[in-house]
Amino acid sequence: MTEELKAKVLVVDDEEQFLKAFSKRLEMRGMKIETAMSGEEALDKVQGKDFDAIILDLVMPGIGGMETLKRLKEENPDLQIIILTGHGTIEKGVEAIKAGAMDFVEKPADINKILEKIGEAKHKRVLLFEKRAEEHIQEIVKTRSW
Amino acid sequence: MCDESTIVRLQFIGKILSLFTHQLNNHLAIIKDSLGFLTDLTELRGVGGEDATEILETVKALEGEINKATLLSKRLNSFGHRMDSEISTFDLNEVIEEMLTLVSKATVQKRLAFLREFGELPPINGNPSLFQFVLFCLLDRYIKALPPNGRLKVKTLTSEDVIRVLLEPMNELSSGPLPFCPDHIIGLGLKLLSCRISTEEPTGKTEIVLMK
Repeated sequence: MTEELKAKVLVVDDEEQFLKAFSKRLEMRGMKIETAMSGEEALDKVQGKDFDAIILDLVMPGIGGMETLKRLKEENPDLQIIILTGHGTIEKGVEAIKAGAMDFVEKPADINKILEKIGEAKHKRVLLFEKRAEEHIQEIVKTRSW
Repeated sequence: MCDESTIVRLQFIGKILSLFTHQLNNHLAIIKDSLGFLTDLTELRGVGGEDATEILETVKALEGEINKATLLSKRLNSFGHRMDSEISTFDLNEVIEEMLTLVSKATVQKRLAFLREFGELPPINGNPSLFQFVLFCLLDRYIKALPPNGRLKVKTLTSEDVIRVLLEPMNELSSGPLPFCPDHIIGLGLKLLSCRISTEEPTGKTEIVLMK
């Protein structure tokens, strides 16, 4: 029996069949999954919601994965975005990491590798949350004279 | 410099291949995850019995085939992308491995094998797709000239200023003197890599020497 990973994940891919099978597999491992079939839909879905990880395809109709990645990071720099694509080149990987992606995985990928990346993303989110909380406390301490 | 029409033709082939393999990878991903889902349904939901065992065995065999297809597709994808730009920094061992994998089907009928002996190499700058083109021409000649069950050792090594690629037939070549690449192909392929190429006549051993 696979160990459950509690995480909230947004999967963005224009291939409906892939989205369906892949999401179900993640759900069976304890994750809460939302899906989007385009970059535009992904940008809508992140409004007011908190995801531990976003799994994003690169080549999609509309604004495309790279532009979606940039806009998501502008929206919220703390988002942990894992690129999952069939368009795997070192150059694309470097470009995605430079644009703020957490990691770059080639399709078809092993589910355990994806789970590992989601686990890392969640851990990074927790660390960032703690860091922000600490900064906030420091700010309060600075502004109060006790 | 290489003539522009050759570069444009290579880029055209590269673009087509990378688009094709991208599509193929997406289909393989769907099949792989659909099979994974079947496994999950059987294993994670605890379906038992002989049918479940048979399903799992079949799924496992199919996954093995998908992994093989994926490896070929990924190699073909990298091969295509190497034609994206005229000059790039690349890992010679990786470029050779890619070509060996892609021509492997041509070795099946005669049961030929490539024995790899790759040394640690520094990255080099040049045109990897033209190098692959030359390597392909050489490998194609060896595949034709080697006897059934023949072996070709492919060795890379580095010394002070140069990197050497050695293609060494481990058997006597069946078709007499090695039918070698025409000079214009060698000249074309090696122009951008500033390297020299030579073949030892009786043994058919080829050495490609590249400047670091």
